[in-house]
Amino acid sequence: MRIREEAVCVAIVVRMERRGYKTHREFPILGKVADVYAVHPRTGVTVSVECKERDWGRGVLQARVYQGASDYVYMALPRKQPSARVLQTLEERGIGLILVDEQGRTRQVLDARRASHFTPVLHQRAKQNFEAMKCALP
Amino acid sequence: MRSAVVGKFQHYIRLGTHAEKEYLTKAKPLFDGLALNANLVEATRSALAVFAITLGKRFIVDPVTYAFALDPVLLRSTSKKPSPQRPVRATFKALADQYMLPSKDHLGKRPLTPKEFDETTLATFVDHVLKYQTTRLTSALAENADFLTSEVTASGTALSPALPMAPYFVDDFSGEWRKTNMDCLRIAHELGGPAQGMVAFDNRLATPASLWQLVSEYLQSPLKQFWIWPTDLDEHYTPEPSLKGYADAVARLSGEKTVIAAYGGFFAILLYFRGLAGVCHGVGYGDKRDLEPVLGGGIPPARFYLRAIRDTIAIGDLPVVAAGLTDDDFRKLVCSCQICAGLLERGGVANLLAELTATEFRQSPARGVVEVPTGRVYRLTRNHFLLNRHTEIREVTTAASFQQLAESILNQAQWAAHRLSLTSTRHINNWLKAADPA
Repeated sequence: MRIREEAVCVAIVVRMERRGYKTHREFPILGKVADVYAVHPRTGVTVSVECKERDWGRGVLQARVYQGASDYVYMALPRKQPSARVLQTLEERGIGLILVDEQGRTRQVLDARRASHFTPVLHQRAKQNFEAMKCALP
Repeated sequence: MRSAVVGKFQHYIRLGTHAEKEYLTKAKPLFDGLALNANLVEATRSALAVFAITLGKRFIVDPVTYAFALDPVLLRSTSKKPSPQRPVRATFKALADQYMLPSKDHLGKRPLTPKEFDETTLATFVDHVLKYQTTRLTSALAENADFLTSEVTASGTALSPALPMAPYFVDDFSGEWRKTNMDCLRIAHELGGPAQGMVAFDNRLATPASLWQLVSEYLQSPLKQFWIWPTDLDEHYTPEPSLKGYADAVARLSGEKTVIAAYGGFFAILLYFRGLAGVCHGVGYGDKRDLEPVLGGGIPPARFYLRAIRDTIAIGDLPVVAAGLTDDDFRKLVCSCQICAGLLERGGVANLLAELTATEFRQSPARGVVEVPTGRVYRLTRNHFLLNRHTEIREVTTAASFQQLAESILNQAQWAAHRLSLTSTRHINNWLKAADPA
C-alpha cells in the first residue's frame, strides 16, 4: 500500500508533539523548506525532518542544509526496512532515519548527530523565525 | 601552446537590467567593457546613454538580429492581460523599423527567413544595423540635451561602440542562414567602416565536422574580430566531447581572428590557452544563453560563487563548505575577496555565514508569506562574484603554464569535492580535458 508524503509528515508531527515538541510544517531554513521543524520548549533542542515518499537522494541534500541550523535532522521514509545504501548514506552524514508504516506508526532506526557544519548563529535565527511564525498564526 | 591572442584578455560584462548598473559602477576597475543588447538600448536609450558616459568604458551593442528569426511568440509582449494575440513588444517593433527589416508586417506572426532578403534589402539592413549601433545612444542625448548636464552632452560625441557588430542569425547547420550571415559580414566590410561579427550556432546540433566547416567559412570573412556564441552550451553540464568541439573551433578561428566569447564562464576563460581573446558574462548569471530564452521564473535565488569549484552553490550549502574553518582557513581555501574579508573582519566565519544567509519574510501573491534573501545578500554575493571573476581572469592569464594552472584548479576542486560531493566538481575534469592546448 502506498504511503503518501503527506501521511508521512502527519505521522512525524504526531510523533514530535507526543514527545513534547512544538512543530511547524513547511518551515523555511537557509533557502530550503523543511517539511517539519520542531522545537522543544523546555530544552530548546531543535529537530528538522525531511519527509520523502521517494527520491531520498534529493532529500539528503536538503537535510544537509537543515543541519546548519538544527540540532538534529532526520529523514522520514514510508518503508518497513531501509536499504543498506540509504542507511550508509545517512549514517555518514549524521542524518537520522524514521520509518513510517501504513498505520502512521513511526520507528526511529538511525540516530541523528549534530553536524560539523552546525552554526549557532543560524540555529538561533531559525528558532527566532519559529517563534515569529507561531505568533503570526491566527 | 596558445595560438594567436594579441594583447590583453578582454573582460566584458553584459548589462541585463538597469538594476545591475549599481554593480557595474562599483566594479568599474574589474572589467574592460560593457555589452548592451539592442533591445535594452531601444527600451531605455537616454538612461543607457548617460550610464555609458558615466561609466566611461568601451562598449558594444549586440544587435540581437537573430531574434527576428525565432518563434514569433518570443517577440510578443508577456503581459498577463487576456488577449487573443499579444502585441509585438514595442522594443522589437522599434528595432525592426530602425533596422529597415523586410517583411515588417509579419513581425510577431512568423519568423524572418533568408528568402525575404535580396541583395538590396540585405545591404540596407546591414547598413542600418551598423548605423543604429553608432548613432542610437548619441541621438538619445541630443533629444534630451535640455535636461542633461553639459558634461554629459559634451561627452555624447564619443558615445559609439568600440566596434559595431554586423547583423547575424543563429546557424543551425542546415545551411538556411549561412549564406546570409556571410553576406552580412561581406557587406559590413564593403561599407568601409570598422565592424566585427558574431559566430552564433546552435550547439545542440553541432558536430566536429559541421563546426569545422562553419569555422572554415568564417575564416574567409574579411572582418578581423568575432564574438562567438554556442547557444544552449551550459559549461557545467555539457559533456566533454561537445566542450572540446567548441574549444577546437575557438582555437582554429583564433588562429586568424580575434575571438571573444559572447557568453562564458570559467571554461571560456580557460580557452585563453586556445587563443580566446576575451569573455563576456552577466552579473552573476549569464555565462550561457539559450537560443530561446526561458520566460518568467521570478527572481533567481541568491547563490554564492565558490571559486574552488568554479560554480555557484546554494546559500544553504555555505555552512557545509565553511564547517570548522578558521578565518585564515576561509581566506585561504574559500575566498579572500574584499566582500568576504570585510564580513570576516566583522565577526569571523560565523558572522560571514550570518550575513550571507540573512533572510526576510515577504508577502507573495501566489505563495503567501515566503522567506527570501535580503537585498543586501544579493548585493554581497554578486559583488563577491565579480571580484572572483576578475581574480580568475588574472589567475588564468598570468599562469606559468596550463599544466600548473590545471594542477592548482584540481587541488582546489578536490578539497571542495570532499566537503560537498563528487558531482560538484565533475565539470572541472571535463573543462581541463577540453581546454588543454597540448
